[in-house]
Amino acid sequence: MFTLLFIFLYILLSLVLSTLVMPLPINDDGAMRYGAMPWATIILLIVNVAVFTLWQAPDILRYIQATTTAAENAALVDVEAKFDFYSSAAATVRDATGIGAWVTFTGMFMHGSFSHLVGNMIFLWAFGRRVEDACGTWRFLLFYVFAGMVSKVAYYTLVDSDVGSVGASGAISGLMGAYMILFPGQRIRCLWVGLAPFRWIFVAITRVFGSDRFTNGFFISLPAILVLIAYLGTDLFATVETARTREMVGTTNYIAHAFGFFAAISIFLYVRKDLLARYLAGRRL
Amino acid sequence: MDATALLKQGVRAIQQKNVPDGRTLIKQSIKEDPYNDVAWVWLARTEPDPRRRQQCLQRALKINPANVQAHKMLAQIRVATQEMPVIKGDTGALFDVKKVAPTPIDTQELLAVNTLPPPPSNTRRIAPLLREAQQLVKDKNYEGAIEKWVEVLALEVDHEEALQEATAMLDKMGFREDARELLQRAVEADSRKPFVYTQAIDYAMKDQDFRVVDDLRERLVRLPEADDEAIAKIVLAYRYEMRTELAYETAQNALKERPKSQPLLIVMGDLLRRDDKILEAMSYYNRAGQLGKNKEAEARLAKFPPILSDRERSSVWMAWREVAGIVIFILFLAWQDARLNFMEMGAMRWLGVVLSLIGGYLLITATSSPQQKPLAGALGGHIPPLKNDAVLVQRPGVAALQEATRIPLLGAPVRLLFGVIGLGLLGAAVWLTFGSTIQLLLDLLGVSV
Repeated sequence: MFTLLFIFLYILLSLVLSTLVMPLPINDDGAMRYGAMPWATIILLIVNVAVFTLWQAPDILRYIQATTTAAENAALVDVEAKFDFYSSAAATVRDATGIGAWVTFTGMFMHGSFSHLVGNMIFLWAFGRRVEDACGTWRFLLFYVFAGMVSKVAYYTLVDSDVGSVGASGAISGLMGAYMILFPGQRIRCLWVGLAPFRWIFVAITRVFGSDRFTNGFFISLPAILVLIAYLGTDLFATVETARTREMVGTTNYIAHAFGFFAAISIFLYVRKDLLARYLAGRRL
Repeated sequence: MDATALLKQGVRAIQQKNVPDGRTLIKQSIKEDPYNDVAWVWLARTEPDPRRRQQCLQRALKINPANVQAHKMLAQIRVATQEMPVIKGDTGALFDVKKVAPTPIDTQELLAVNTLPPPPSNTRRIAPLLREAQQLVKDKNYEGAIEKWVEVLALEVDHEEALQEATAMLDKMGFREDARELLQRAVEADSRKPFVYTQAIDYAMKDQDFRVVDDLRERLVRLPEADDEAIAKIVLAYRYEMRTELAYETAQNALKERPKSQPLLIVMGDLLRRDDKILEAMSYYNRAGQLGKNKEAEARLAKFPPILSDRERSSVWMAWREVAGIVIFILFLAWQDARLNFMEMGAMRWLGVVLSLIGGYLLITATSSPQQKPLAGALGGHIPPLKNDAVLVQRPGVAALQEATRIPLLGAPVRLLFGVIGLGLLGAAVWLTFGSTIQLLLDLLGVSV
C-alpha cells in the first residue's frame, strides 16, 4: 500500500516538475459541437489503463518490491518477456516472428512505466475528445490506430535498433496534429507551474495600476497552436537527430511522435463530411 | 427650343388660363433642364393632387433650398391638407387649381428623371465652400464655418460632409433645434442618403418624438440605398420595444429585397431564437454562414449542433473520401504484412486492397452516405417527406441539425444489402492483405483454419 502511495506521489510530483518548463495540456476549453459522448476516447483510456495496471504493472511492482536478487530477476524476466513479445520491434515485423505485424497494434497499448501511462492519458483526454467529436466514434478509432501504426513503422524504418517501442504517444501525437489542423484557434487549459511566479509578479504590477483584468494561478488558457507547435518543435529537433544518427536520442521515441504528427494530415479522410465542408469553406468548425 | 424659352411660354399660357398647354410646355422644359427649381414650382401650381404638388415642391427645394416660393407653398399645403382640402387663391398661386383642373399629367415620370446628383455647377461651388469651412474651424470661427456649411446645403440639401459637420457643430454649440431643422429639410427633400435618416432618428429618439422616429425608420427601410446593418438595427429596435410583429414584418420584407444579406439573415435568426424557434433560427444563421465568412453567424452557430445540408449529403466525392480512409488503412496493413516491402506485396494482397475499395464504398454508401447523386435516385431511392425546415437528429455518436432533404434516400433493404456485402468484402480484404500476420496469431492460439 505504501509503495503504491509512494508511486502515486512520485508521479504527481514528476508531472508537476515537468510543467516547470513546458505547459501540460489538461483540457479543451471549447464546446463539443456534436455533443456526442466520446466513447472511443473513454474506451481507449480504459484499455490503456487496464493493459498496464492489470497486465504489466503486477510484474513491474513485483520487480520493485523484490527483496532478493532471484525474485528481482524472475520479475524482470517476466517484464521483459512481455516487452519482447508484444512491443513494436523492427525485427518482429521484418522476420514475421512472434505475432508479426500485430506488434504495431499491441505496442500502442503498452507503456514503459506508470508515469509514461499517466502522461499519455492526460494528452489523450485533452485532445482526443474534440477530435473524436469531429470524426465520430468509428472513424476516430480508425484514425487513431492508423496514426499509431505510422508512428511505429517510422521508428522501424529510421532507427537501427532491436529495442521495441511501446506507448500510445505516436497515436496521441496524431491526435495532437489533427487538433492543430482542425482547431488551431482553440484555447487549451494547461498546467504551467514554471510560469506562475512570473504571472504573480505581472498581476501584482497590474493591480498597482488598478487593473483586475489578469489573474494568477498554476492553470492558464493558451492557444492550441502555440502549445502544439512547442511540442512539435521539441520532437522535430530530436527526430532530425535520430534520423541522422539512426540511433535513439534518450529513451523517448521522438521519431514516433513526429511521424504521428505527420500522419495527422490524413485526418481529412476521417472527419465528418459537413465538418470538412465547413473547413474547406473557411468556416468555424 | 431651349428650356428657358419653353418655361416662359408655359408661364405665359398659364397666366392666360390655358393650364393644360402651360403644363405640357413646363413639363417639356423640365425634361430639357431638370435642375430648374422655378419650373418645378410652376409645375406644382398646375398640379391638382396635393401629394404630387408637394413632391414637385420638394424637388424644387432639393435643387434650391432657398426657393422662398416653394417653402411658402409647401407650408400652405401642409395647413391646407390639415384644415382645408382646396388651396385658396391667396397662396401665391395665380389661379384656382380646382376650377381649371386639367387632365392629370404624370409628374412621377419627371420626378423619376430628376433623381440625379446635384448639377455640376453646384459641385464646383461646393468644394471651395467646404475648404473655407475647414479653415474657419481651424481658426475657431465656428459660426463662420456653420454659415459656409449651410451655404453648401443650400446647393445640395443632403451633402454628407456639410450636413454632418453642421449638425455636429450646432449640437455642440447648443443649437440642437437648428441641427434637427437641417436634417428635417434633407428628409423633406426625399434624400436618398441613409445617414440623413439614421441621424434624424437619433435626434427624434433623444427628443422622444416617437411618431417621427417610426416615420423615419419606415422611410429608411424602404430606401434602396440603406445598408443592411441599418435595417437590422431597426428590426432589433422594434424587437427591443416589444413590437415583435413589426420586427418580423420588417425583417421579412427586407429579406425579400435582399435575400443574400448576412446581417438581415442573422437578425432574423436572432428574432426567431429569442422566440425559442431554435431550428428556424439555425437555418437562417447557416444561410448567413454559407454566404461567406461571417464571425457573428459562426459564433451563433457554434452554440448549437452543426447543420447537415443536402450539399454534403449528396456529394459523391465526400463518400469516396471516406472510402480512401479505409483503403489507406488496409494498404498500410498489407505493407506491414509484406514485411515492409512493397515489392513483396503479391497479387493477393493487391486484390485485397481492391476489394477494400469496393467493400468500403458499399459500406459507406449503406451507412454514412446513402444519398449520393445520382446513385440514390437510380437505385429506387425516395425523397423523405418534408416536415420542417430542419430537424434535430440525435443518435449515438452524433447530434446534428438536418435540413429537410430534397435528395432521394436509398431504401432500407438496399442499404442493408450494401452493408452486408461491404462488410463481407472488407473482411475478405483484411484476410487477403493481413493474412500472414493473422495466421501467426492463430498458430499461437492453436487455432487451425
